[in-house]
Amino acid sequence: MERILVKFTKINNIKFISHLDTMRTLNRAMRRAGIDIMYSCGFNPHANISVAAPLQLGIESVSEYADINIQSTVDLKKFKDSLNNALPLGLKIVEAVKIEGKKPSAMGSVAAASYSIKMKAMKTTEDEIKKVIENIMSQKEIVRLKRTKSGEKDVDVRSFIIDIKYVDLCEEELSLRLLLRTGSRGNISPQMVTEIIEDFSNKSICNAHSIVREEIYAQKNEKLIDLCSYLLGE
Amino acid sequence: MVKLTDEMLLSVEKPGRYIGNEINVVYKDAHSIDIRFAMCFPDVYEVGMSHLGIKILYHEMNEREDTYCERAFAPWPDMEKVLRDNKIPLFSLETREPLCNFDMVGFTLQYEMSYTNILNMLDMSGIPLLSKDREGFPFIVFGGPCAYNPEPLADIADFFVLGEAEEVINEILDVYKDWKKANRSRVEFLDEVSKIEGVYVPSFYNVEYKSDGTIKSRIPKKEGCKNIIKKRIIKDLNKGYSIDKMIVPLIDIVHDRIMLETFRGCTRGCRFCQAGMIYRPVREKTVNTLMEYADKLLKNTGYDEISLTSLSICDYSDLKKLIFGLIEKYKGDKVGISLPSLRIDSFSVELINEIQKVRKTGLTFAPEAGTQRMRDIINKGVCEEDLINSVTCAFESGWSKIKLYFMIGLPLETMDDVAGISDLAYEVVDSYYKVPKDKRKKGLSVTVSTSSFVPKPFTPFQWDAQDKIDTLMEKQYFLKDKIRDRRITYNYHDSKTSFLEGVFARGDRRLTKVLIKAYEKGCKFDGWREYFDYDKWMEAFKECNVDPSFYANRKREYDEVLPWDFIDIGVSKRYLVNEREKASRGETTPDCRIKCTGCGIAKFIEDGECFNGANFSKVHENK
Repeated sequence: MERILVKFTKINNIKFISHLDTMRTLNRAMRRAGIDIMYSCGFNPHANISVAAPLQLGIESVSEYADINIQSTVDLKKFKDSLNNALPLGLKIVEAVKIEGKKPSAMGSVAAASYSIKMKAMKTTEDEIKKVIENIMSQKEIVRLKRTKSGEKDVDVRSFIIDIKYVDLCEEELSLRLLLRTGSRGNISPQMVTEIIEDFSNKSICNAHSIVREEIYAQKNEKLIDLCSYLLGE
Repeated sequence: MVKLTDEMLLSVEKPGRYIGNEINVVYKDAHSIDIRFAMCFPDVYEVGMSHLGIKILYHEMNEREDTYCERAFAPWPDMEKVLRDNKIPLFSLETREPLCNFDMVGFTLQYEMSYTNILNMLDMSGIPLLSKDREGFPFIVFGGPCAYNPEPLADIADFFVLGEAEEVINEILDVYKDWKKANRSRVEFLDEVSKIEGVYVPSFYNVEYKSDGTIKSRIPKKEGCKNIIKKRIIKDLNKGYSIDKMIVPLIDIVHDRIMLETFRGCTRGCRFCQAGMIYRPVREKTVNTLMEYADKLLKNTGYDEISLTSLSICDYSDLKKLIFGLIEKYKGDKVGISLPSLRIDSFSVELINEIQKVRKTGLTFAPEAGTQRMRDIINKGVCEEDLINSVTCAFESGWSKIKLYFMIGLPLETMDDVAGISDLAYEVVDSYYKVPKDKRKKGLSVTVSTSSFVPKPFTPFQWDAQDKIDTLMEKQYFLKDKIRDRRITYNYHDSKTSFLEGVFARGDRRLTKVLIKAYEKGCKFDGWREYFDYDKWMEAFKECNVDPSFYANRKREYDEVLPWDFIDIGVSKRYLVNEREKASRGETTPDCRIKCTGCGIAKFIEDGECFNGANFSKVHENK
């Protein structure tokens, strides 16, 4: 058995399919590519692919990660090329690396993710926008209704927002960069953050029309390291 | 090309329905081809993409260099609103080209309750609803099982294809290409295409009616029009075009697996079943052909499940060899084999036991009727003992969830027959408890479903009156009352939907105006409970001065001219009358593999023969 970590994109129209549909599409692409994938045992054998952090429908990404367990050794370039031939437009493997030794799973390593977002900013200035961001970041708590497995409940999500960075304002189109807690130890969706920004700006900043996940990070000591480097142990 | 913004797509449920870009989609340069064909399914994407027929035609047409076939489905009402609000016409998934810019737009007619969706799709495309107003627009062609009674759509269609369209589509495209080059009039194309066997141009005929509302005669408007339209069939399914790839959707659809078509036709001769008559004769694909195409399909799609399709899969003459061949070849690749419809015999339970060694989900059986008397009337050749043996075998093998399908409202049905449905369900429960406790799985659940019988053209019951809505409801309540057991669940179909289905199944040309009126009142997605609006339909009938019960609830005489009498499906009317008479006497007709029943199809196919390729020794072994 060999463990391969792939980094892939999910851009353009393929963002309109759900996480489950993406998994199914990856699985079938492996089969078309003739990759000797491992299957789980049990009543309903399924392919051993696990995506690091589910991406919500409508959000694009240039850095998705998945662990894939295959039966026998492969040439990584051939693996990547044959898989890319079998994938639909928008899903593309940009990197495939072997993970050797005892390493945590990609899913278990996720600590944070960064996003580029575009929002509409009307009748406002760079300074005002920066003040809105400062105001959000200086809050002690921001309580939002979150859906969890056990139903809906109020959660303080402030600590999940690591950073909001102003990037650019051009003809009422505002670009921001978000760094957010992601994964099982704390998670906030970029949509919830855009809603918080809407609220704090009294709707002068609104309509998040493009969200792209830029990178997924693991945490080592106090530092965030991109998933690929982290799992390669550099 | 229409433009859909992200905002539009994010505002609707399941935007993946509208983005195309699936695996095995065909892309061509639309400017360098001669014919653009839009293959439409008048229901939502997940339903339409589960249909094998349009996939076959899509890939077959795209084999031609001069033709580009694309797809379109009925947008769900949320998307329809977005499109209409933004004045965006209905478009194809491949190139997002508005349907009005195509040369031909084809719809498959799978069920009557999708007719309003056809009108809606035409309207959303800006294509006139009536054939006579369509100058300068694409030709609208209909095919599929409901085309065997084309008359309710007579004024909407430009032409119909009767029978298996794979056999005839290339001839149509050739005629079209010549016509387009010659730059001739619309009616000249219809003239030419009507000469092709299996093609019916309804505007070339007039229908006259008697004072009692029945048909007096059909009169061709000009010389040379065929009086009888013969269906087209492929003689040998092992030859000619066979599908070796299919579009794999990116979103979950209803039947998300390889459909491996094993044979067409059915030898059983159940008297209620239209499919069993119109798809005759039985034509099988050989095990070798099927193994070859299964392999190609698995490689080209990446699916991990093959469903063996046909009208009655256990009748495939070499089923064991096929199934064990597939299992043996693909066990390492984790390919599952599934059988969609099961006959009631222990052979089929053993078989399914073999292929589903681990996952024991539900098992479905279709006794169709509750008493032996009724099963003999409909010629469903199974008995109670078959059912009990099969379910006992299933319980012993670890199944505990059984579904039973029945029909109510069958001709000659009495309340005793209806009661028989509940009796049979209780017997299934009893047979569960007869299996020793340590051998059976816990959690018995028996689901009884009844659909309401709709008499269909080209069946021995085509002359019969459909039960009225009240009668059907009475039977449903009767059963609901009789089945009071937490281990048995009873489901039944909406009888108003069945009534409307019955009207259109045996309707004539006078229904076109009702259809349009109902559509104008807002009827669409009539097959979906949340959208079906019976009251609007009844208003439409009233305003058009058409009595729906004339079509659904009236018993016809054998000598009445039926709206579909001009179509020759190869099964003779004499045979159907004889079968209907035998039904009245409670006499059964054997499976035609045992003895030819003289339905007429052998004569129809001339030099062909029934069951070509069938392995007869295996047939007898299984009996």
